[in-house]
Amino acid sequence: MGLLKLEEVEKIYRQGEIEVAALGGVNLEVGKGEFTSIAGPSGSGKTTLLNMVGCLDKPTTGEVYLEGAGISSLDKDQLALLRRENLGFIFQGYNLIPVLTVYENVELALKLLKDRSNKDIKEQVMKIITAVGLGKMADRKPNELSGGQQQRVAIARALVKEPKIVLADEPTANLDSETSLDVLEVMVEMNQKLKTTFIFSTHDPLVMESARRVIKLKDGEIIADERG
Amino acid sequence: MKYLLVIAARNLSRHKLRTLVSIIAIALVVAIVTMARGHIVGYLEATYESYINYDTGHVKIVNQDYQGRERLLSLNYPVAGFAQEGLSKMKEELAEIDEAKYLLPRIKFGGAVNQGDEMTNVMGWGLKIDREIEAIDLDQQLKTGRMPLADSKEVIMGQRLLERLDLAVGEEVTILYNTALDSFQGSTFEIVGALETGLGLIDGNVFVLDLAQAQQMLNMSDEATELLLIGAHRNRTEELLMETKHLFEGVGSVEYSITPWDAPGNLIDYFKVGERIYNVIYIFFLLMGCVVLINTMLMIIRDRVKEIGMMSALGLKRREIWQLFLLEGMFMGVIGSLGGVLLGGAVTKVFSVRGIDYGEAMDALSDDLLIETVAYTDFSFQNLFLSFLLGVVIVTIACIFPAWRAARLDPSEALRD
Repeated sequence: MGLLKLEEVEKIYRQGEIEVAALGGVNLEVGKGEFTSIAGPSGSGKTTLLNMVGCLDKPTTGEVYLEGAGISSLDKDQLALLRRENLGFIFQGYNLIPVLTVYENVELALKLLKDRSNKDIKEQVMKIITAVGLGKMADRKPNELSGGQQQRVAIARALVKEPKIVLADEPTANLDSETSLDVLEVMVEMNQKLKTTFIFSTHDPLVMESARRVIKLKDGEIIADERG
Repeated sequence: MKYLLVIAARNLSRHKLRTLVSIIAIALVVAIVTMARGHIVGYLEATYESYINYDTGHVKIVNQDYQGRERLLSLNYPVAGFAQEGLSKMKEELAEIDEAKYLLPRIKFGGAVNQGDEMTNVMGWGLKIDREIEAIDLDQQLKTGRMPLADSKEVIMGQRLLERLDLAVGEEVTILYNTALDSFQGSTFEIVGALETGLGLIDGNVFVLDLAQAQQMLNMSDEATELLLIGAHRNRTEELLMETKHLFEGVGSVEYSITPWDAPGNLIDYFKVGERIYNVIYIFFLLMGCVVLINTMLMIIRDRVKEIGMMSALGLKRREIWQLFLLEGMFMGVIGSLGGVLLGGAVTKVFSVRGIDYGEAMDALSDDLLIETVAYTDFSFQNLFLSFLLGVVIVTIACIFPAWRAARLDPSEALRD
């Protein structure tokens, strides 16, 4: 079994009396070190699929396996611990904590993990901040950074704990094409250097081009799974 | 936990005006509570002290038949010792009680002073002057003059009574009274001092003379109308009461009533009930003040839904998110309460020295009750600390609900916000 497996995953949302199927019987396997893009138009189920993979939500039916272990039986706190230890997230709107500096935003992901000495944390945080090109901006607050720089901080925060999978929801949607390319390069570099699995949702052709695997979704179903 | 503290503390600066408004609201409520508590506690403490000093002692012994007739100032039901052996013998035995620091025998009797065409009712208190000075610092209440000497025909009178009678220290006064044998008599005394206790009942009605002198003129040899026991502190009244009752049971005495200063049904008991009611009112008042804070917290949470989703994605448990928002509210509570205590404390300090003069509003009431017309607020660190603690605790409790709402947010829905 690969790093991640989705088996007949179905997600149904209720809107009053109406049931809306956001995902219908999705089967998917993602291996270690893959750089995968989930593409599709708005409403195709990209974010829902990412939420399932990211253990932010549980499927209505079917099962999500992370390293062979199903998540359906886990409660909310167990899922939180699973995310804390195994998953990194990059969001479209960066979602940095505005009152923390670049260093502290990245450090937070490590502080949540137990058994790390302050020295180790410091070394690891500075290493990743430097790797994303923000070594000299560690003391700055998010509002003192450009959009691209903030997204680099988010990437550093997602990667600092060396997670098994990094999930990115439209990571370049708020950036201009030049900055998008820049951010994308950082993600590709990190994927190659750290062998971290990246799964990101996008409808940006630039992002899709850089992915080695593109999974296309339509109406909650996989219509294509292309490997480049 | 440390990172939660750091984030919560820094979050206060995110929307400064909103934080400031919440802190000011808490500060104002806590300041009012501090002042109200200072006023109520100060007033009640003074009232308790007045009742203990001038009416009840910590424990009061009277003849069972005297109870209910106290206001009539009857001399027919005295404390005359066990099996009528005399007050002195009883005092000797009571002196053996460890908890009893002072034994204060008193005779309270009615009298009248004839001034021209007018008769003015007065109340005489025969006291063992030296013991009263030791026990309740009675001499500290003298406005002018000195205390009466033992076995002398000297009295001190309430300042307002002197004014009513148009008399002054150094002059003589003839007082008419009934003895215990029901004979109508009159005695002339030299006024050697004027009392000013701040209590209308005493200042406007009472004259004080030596107990032995009172016993002699009232035909109450070795008797008193009441015997007060004063212990080390009013908090130890229960022990004093038990020991006293034990002694009386030991000698088989059943003719006396032994009551503590806060016996159920008396005025002090009502004050104590009032004190408890006020404590509940403070809590409700603080909760009302917390409405602003709750509103702020709900707004904060509304603003930070996405951030909550991000923190949840990062792996923060629901309990940790709950703690984060609770800490943020608690910080506002601590700062607001501290400001409120400082403001309220400053005002309380001023009125603890200057007092609040209720003047004529209280005059009518204070002539019947041992209630001061000038209330001094209680400026104590205990009051400040309790008001602060109450503020922080209530604010924290008020934040539980908004923080719980934040913790309950579904991460996937929060991120979609």
